[in-house]
Amino acid sequence: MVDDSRMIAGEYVLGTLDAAERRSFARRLLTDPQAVAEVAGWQERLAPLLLIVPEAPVPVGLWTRIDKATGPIAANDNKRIGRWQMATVAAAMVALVSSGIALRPGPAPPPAPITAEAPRQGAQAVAALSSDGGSPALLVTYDAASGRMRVIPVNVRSKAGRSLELWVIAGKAAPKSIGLMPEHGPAALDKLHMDPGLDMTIAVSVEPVGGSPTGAPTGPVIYSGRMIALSKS
Amino acid sequence: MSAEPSLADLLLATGEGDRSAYADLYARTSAKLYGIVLRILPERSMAEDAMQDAYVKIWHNAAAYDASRGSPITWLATIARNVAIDLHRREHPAGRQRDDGFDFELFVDPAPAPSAEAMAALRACLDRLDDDQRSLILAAYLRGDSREELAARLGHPMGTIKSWLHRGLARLKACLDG
Repeated sequence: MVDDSRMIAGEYVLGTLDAAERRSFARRLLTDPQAVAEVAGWQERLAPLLLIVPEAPVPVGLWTRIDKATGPIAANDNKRIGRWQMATVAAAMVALVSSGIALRPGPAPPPAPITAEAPRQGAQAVAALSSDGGSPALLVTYDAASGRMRVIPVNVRSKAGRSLELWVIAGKAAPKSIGLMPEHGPAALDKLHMDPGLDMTIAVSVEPVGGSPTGAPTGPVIYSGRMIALSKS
Repeated sequence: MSAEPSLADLLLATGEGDRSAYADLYARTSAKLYGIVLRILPERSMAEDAMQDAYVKIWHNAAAYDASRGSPITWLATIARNVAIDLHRREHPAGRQRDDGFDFELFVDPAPAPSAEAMAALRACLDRLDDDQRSLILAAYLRGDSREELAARLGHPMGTIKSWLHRGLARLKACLDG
């Protein structure tokens, strides 16, 4: 139901979904560009409300904490690389869009899994995605038995004002959308059924915010890599 | 004194790793963001944690700020609000007892806002909602009240709250998009 999904997106932004509904919707945001666009729309509608809240005097010393937490020592030597890894466009989207902790790895304990998680060593195929065969920008693993795909950004460069969308090309079939690049850190997608016998390529294209409007890649492919079977089982 | 850099300039420079721009950005926006965070997390230590998380996030994501999706202050405010709500949910998974009423009509920020037009439109549309619908939306968005908390405060079943919220959101959307 279109209206219903819009209302869920509205409630997601408002923050009134219960924990299970929120998690389930947050999972959907990983694979459903339309839902992401709806969330962005609600965010834009409601965000001006925040500006009516009066200012409050900031405690002295808070800046020192923040300065330390973001300074060169805290952020390590490879600050720039780290910053680029995190500053994907998807990150900007979701930073804005999400108030659901399900999307982010963080100090919160992970929600109880609804389905048993496939063992990590069960990954049967892996792809290292790069641009023109350079060093990998992201890794994708896929376990055909559980249908679980993991997306692990390694050094993904953002495109300002664009979303990065993942595609799978199985054999000679047309590219099929897997979803938008995760905010940062790894993400897992479940129930993805692909024939491991086929020659599979995973690609990332640059799309308008929220993902390709057509269901096919519309922008340049910036990373791609072939799935390589790790073991026969 | 030459013209002050705009928030957009500061955010852009922050995205390039310019620490003095980041410090300026903090100086110019932290009181606003702290006000927002305190609404959701009245406990001072938690509010400070949320501020730290929010500004760390801003530092890491400044490069990806997209001007087409809203003004810099709205973007910053949204990050602060979302961080505060996440923290509130982690710390009060079962909701909380608060006895303060809905006092949102009292909000007046005298400072001219860069998004004045968007704000005026939103206010006009909120004014057209029923009082209950408006209060629910404001309490949820600005204070982080969950459906349970709203139901407990108003003494209505959760299903009623949900349908009021949906009706309120639908009317708001029709008014703003129309």
